[in-house]
Amino acid sequence: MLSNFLRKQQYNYVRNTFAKSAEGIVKKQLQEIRKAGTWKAERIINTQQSASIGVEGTQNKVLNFCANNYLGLSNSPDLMEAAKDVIDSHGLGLSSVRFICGTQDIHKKLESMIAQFHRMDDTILYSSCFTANGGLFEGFVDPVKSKVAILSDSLNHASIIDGIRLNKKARRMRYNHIDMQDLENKLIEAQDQDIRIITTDGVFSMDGDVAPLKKICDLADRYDSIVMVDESHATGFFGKTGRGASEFCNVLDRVDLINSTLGKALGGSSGGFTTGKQCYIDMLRQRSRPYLFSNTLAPAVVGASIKVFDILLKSTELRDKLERNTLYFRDKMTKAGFDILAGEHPIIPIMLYEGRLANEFADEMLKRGIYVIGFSYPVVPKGEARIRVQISAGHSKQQLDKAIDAFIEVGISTTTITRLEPNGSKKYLRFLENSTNFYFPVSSSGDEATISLYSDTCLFDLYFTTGMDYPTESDDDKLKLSKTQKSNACLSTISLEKKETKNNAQIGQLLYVTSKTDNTTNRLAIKVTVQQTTNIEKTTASLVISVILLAICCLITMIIIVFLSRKGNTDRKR
Amino acid sequence: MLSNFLQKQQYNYVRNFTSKSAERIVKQQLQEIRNAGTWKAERIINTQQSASIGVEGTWNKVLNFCANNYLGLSNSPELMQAAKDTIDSHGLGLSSVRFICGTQNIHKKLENMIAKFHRMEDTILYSSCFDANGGLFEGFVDPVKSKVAILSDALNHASIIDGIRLSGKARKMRYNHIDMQDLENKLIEAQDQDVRIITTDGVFSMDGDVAPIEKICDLAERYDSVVMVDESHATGFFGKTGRGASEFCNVLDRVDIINSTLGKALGGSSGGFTVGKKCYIDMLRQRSRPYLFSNTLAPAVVGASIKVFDILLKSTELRDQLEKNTLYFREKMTKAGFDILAGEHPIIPIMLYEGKLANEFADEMLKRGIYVIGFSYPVVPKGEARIRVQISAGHTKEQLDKAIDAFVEVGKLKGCLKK
Repeated sequence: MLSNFLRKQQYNYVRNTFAKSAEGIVKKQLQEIRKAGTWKAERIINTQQSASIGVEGTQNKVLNFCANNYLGLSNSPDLMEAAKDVIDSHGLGLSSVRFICGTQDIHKKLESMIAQFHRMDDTILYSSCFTANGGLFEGFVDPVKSKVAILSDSLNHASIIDGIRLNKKARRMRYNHIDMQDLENKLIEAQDQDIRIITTDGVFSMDGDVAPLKKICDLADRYDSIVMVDESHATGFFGKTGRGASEFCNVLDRVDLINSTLGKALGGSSGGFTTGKQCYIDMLRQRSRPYLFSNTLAPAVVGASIKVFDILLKSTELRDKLERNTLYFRDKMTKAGFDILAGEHPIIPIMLYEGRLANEFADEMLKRGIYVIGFSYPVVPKGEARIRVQISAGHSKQQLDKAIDAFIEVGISTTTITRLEPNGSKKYLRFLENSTNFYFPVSSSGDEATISLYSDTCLFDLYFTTGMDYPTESDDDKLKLSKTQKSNACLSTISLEKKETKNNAQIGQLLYVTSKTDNTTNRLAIKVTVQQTTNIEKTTASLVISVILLAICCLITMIIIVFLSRKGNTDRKR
Repeated sequence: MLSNFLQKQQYNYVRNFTSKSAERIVKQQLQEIRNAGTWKAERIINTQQSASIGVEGTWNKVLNFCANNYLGLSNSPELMQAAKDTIDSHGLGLSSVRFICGTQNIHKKLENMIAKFHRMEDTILYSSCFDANGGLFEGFVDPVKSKVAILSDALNHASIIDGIRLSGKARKMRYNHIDMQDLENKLIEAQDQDVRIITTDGVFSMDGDVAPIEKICDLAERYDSVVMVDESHATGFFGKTGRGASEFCNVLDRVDIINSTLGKALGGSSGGFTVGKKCYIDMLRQRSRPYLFSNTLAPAVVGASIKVFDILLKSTELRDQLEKNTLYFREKMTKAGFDILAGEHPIIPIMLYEGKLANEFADEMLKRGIYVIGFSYPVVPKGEARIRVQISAGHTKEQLDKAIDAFVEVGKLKGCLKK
């Protein structure tokens, strides 16, 4: 008590004019974020969200390829009308949590429609899927009474990770991304718990890859676990009738819980939900903290969402259009030579690998009227920076073509795109137009280079050579490769084993590529993969050879000795 | 590896029609909740939210005394028109997080208006105050680089508690409800940390009592701590000009961060925000997880909220009406002999102490056309069950009298009036 009193005397009354330590610390960390180049700036849009938007600071409209507006419904006149009608009939807001006085007839109607769409028993609404994920795990089973294990994919969305963190008493386990063997091992480990919940994104938002839901459901059946899938990047447009990744994998009837959002494809205003078996939804209504302590969904959002599900339950037209757009864009970009993670989803990552390149590429695209965003570390792993394109049913073919042309144009003006592959080889991607000279650096002799070519006209001559200097016309090492057939798409792979040059230069050798064409509108992309053949292999090879030679020598020596000793014996006998 | 293999052989393939353990356990616990009498049933409303509403299952309309509709704006024609106009001009939704393509000019305008209203520097919008609280602590200071202590009132809202739980490595401390001595001791304890944040509700939602924010600010300045106040039950209607409990305690210029909601008095549709010094808001824009990973606020909500702040910045008429209603109701109910926790806030807890009594009382009130809710354990401590009445500027004097009469009638019936 005395020490407390003394300490109190120590602290002087700090007036308001002195900044608190927190302010200084925060300002310093803001500075660090700026220096690291990871500062996020917001562009201001001054139109409705659509395939084509107005951005402050640019004269003309730009084409938007980075919204979650998959079905183009964010400014749909039908939905806007429905929202306005419901504002008239049911008011602006409810100012209440659901169970006090925040449930209107339209909320129950929307919950029924969502359950019907997903062929589930019941639905519970939230203000966002972020909140739905936040409320699910904690509210699911009173952790004191039952032992719960939660098994989560390592690349799950931030909201799922936060939701799991809020459930302190549950046993939290993470399995490697899409690794079914690891999941099975963790499921076996968790058999001492009463309940197991496997949770995964249906479609992962950075790569656009789909979780192997069939295998997950098989494992869940075998090891008595429930399956929860977050379908935020799938509901409404993925799967045969747009019922999500669960439908895409044919397991819609085997998944126990689906969390998804009304704030992406389904109108984009706000809202989220959890749908599943009646008992699970009942439990969430009694226990889920965001549901019990946060405002109910606004009538306008509910009205627009009812209209969306009306549309989706009647026809798959929008979903089909999105699929066509997606296939077209993927096909064209792959043929143009870009590195795209394979898949069928409208999320299309255009891999550029280096963070600064991704940002500069995005800036150049904006100058050409295409709005895309570059993603780099820490949002994606180091060395895997990309531009993530999101296709919409609202994009017309002309708009897609404009984007593809802009991508190729910017690709041509960019320096070589480089990637260090996990197995140690280096991959170079270069876009060319007309006649160009350039080179790929190759680290040491003995490297093998595999060259892939992408062109829509194939009217070009390519010359390859290796050495320290630019090639001349009379260089003996020059290897000419030419293709003169006229076709619309051309794809070929050549294996080139690098020869040693006359002067035996070892380090820093260069692979030169010259393209020459008479057609002035030729565009070409070249991918060169350089695989280093390691010295270890060489030494192993030479070691094996020398051992074999030694063995042969020993054998010959032994034969000679035996022969000589026999001869000696024969001599003595005489 | 061998043991794994053997274990796998043990498990048979469970077919789909055998229910999983989880289902069985959940059904059992649902039964326990029903048996304990703590089951929450939802009544369905078939009209707009207002002082007088239609509830499925009752013939006539009932008077609503349990909504957060403090200024009666949840069905204001002006706000509804503003929302509809903004849908026409700015679309239905944005389908994007803020920093990708989810910021329209109206979002920046609303942020400026909120900052201006609170005499702060900048604002960051969220889809609810629940999210604002969830994103604040984790996003505030990178906990790895600085040592952070968070000091939270024991009766803070669930969203603040969840937000603090998400803050990872920060040192979490709780001080007894409104106990300034305990807070001071904890502040002294936390002096070894780089940053201290004191967080409190401005007005506590179960009792309607106001936090002693002036004393908290004094302590914060003496012990170098940031003050964050959650004004969800105060913004728009509490304090001389409706600027919240911070204004009510005359410390609006000394509070560092204010979190509040657009989903109660200010229209009731949805939305929340954090307002404060520019450096704090800038940090949240870069780091707050709900802001970075969740959808931006819908244009309709932004448009209606801009209209609300227009109204509030011009006149205190609604707030004054609410104050008159509140004083009238409190006075009458106290005179009638009810036990009411003293205060000035429109949240008026009518203390009944026993849980079963509170629920029966509420049912009797509904029969007389007054919609109120009884709160019992575990929402409030055991033995402190109550009916929590929330007054609105939309209530007329006749409606207040009708409620008071009904309360007196049922009170006499149940024998809870003080003589």
